[in-house]
Amino acid sequence: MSTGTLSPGTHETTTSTPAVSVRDASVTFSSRRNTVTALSNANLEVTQGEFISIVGPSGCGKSTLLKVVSGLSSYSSGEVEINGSPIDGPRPDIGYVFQRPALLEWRNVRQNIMLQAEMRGLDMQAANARCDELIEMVGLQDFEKSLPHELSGGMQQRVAVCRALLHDPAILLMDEPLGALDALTREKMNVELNRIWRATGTTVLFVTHSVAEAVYLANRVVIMSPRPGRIVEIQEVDLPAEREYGATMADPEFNRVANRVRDLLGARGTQE
Amino acid sequence: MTQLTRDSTTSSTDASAGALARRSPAPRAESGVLRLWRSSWRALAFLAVAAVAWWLVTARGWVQPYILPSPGETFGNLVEYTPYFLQHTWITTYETVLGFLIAVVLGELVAILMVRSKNLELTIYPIILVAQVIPKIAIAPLFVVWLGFGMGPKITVAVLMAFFPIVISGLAGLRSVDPEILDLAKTMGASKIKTFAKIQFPASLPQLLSGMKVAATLAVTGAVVGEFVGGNEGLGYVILRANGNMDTATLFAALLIMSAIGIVLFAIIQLAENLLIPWHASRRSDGSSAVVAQA
Ligand SMILES: Nc1ncnc2c1ncn2[C@@H]1O[C@H](COP(=O)(O)OP(=O)(O)OP(=O)(O)O)[C@@H](O)[C@H]1O
Ligand SMILES: [Mg+2]
Repeated sequence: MSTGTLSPGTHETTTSTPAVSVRDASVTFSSRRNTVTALSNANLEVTQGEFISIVGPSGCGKSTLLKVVSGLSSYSSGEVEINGSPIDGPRPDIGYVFQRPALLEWRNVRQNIMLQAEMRGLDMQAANARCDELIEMVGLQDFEKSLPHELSGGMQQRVAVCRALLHDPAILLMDEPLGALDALTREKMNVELNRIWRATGTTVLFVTHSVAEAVYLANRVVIMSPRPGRIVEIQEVDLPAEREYGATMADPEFNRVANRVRDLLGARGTQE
Repeated sequence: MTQLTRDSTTSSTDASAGALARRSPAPRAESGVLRLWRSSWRALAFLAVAAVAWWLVTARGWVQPYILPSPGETFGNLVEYTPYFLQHTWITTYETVLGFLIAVVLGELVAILMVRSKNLELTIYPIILVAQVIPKIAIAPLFVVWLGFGMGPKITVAVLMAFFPIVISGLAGLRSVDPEILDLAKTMGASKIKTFAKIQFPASLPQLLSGMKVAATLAVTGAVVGEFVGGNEGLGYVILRANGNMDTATLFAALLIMSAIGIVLFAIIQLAENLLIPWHASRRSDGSSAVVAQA
């Protein structure tokens, strides 16, 4: 598998400005019936090129956090900055994998991925080459011409991942991108994600429900808890950037963090 | 538009795979004619029965010819006066198609304006609603006064009739886009025009096209209503004159032609659906069974 257009360190910046800086950010949704605090006083500073995993029970505000960082959702209070500048509206320099695949029904796999290039007005030849690589990487070569309704849920998610990676974004926001995959494909995708991340130097915010996946991929794991949605702890993962599927998981550091995360999630579970 | 046309080999495999699943002796690649026959034989059979009943009722003399002419008389009339019918059919078809096309363009434009701006929507919607509830037959004479006895008032009534379903379905279609996909477009820094052309418009096609089917049949009615009110050409005029002469055979012949115009327009839009939105759930030939067979 060639790395092709993936040039190492594309997004390494010389400055020490944080890639993402969330300070005391809160998001509340009000309806006629009730008010939900989806995010309460969240604080998170992500350095350039860092891989952050976000875990937490359903409804704890993980998707909300990503939406705020992307500029798609507004926040009620606090400050959110990307590369040192406050967010005003949707950011075009990101790659976003939504919790649902969000594919266009009338476009086949390749056309769905290439939407990214068409909308951004990228060089089509380079984008097509990159698209080939990505399709091969996620193992959809035989389905290039298939429409979304002809794909399984996991295949649709893989298309969405390719689409978010096509333009080599500075910041990658991924909301449970591998949720519907079988265990084996998921492992393979984890290895690929780690490789892509190392090769591109992209800053990643990655939401997942799998503790092992979270720790395997991340520099730091953010643990959240619901009602109100908040960040309870941020765990450093002191492992080299290059992860090996077997070896990393056997590492005492991996197990330390994984157990800590499980404790936090489990403890929250029994309290409620 | 290329992204809208699905790989033709794929869809034909779908159809034959589905057919195989249900009826094993069916040929693998079914010809278009055969498929058309399979989908329409029931309607044709019903028409045949109705025609026989029509013939029986008149041939036995159960109904007077001036009330219901026999099929023979009706079709004989059609054959005998072919040039006469052709001339008036052409007029009515022209008015209908032109009215329909104007309505599609105007209706879609208004729908676009309405999704663009809430203010415009709140301003235009009541006006459109009022225009819709006014009986067209009642304002048609006014158009004759304004536009004279030519095709103007007929086309205007056809446009008015067809306009409403186009606006409503166009609007519903443009609104049907998954908000998450619009969010996605924003993260791509897509311009409004690109978002419209590549996402909103294609997503609105299924609804727009079903609105167009309704509009097409209404456009025929509109043109004929216009012809009733003023002028001396078109099938509406033929019917009025035949009615005056108690010439039910001509009247029935004109009715048959009018139905045919509506059906042909409807069929054209159906065809457009097959070409433009093969991806839509309503058009997938044999449902999900085909996906398994293909994979
Ligand atoms: N648009 C919205 N309007 C009202 N409430 C919302 C909206 N979006 C999210 N919420 C609420 O905010 C809370 C957090 O939602 P969010 O989608 O961020 O959870 P999540 O952590 O992503 O959950 P999951 O793991 O199930 O995806 C939930 O209680 C939800 O009901
Ligand atoms: Mg979520």
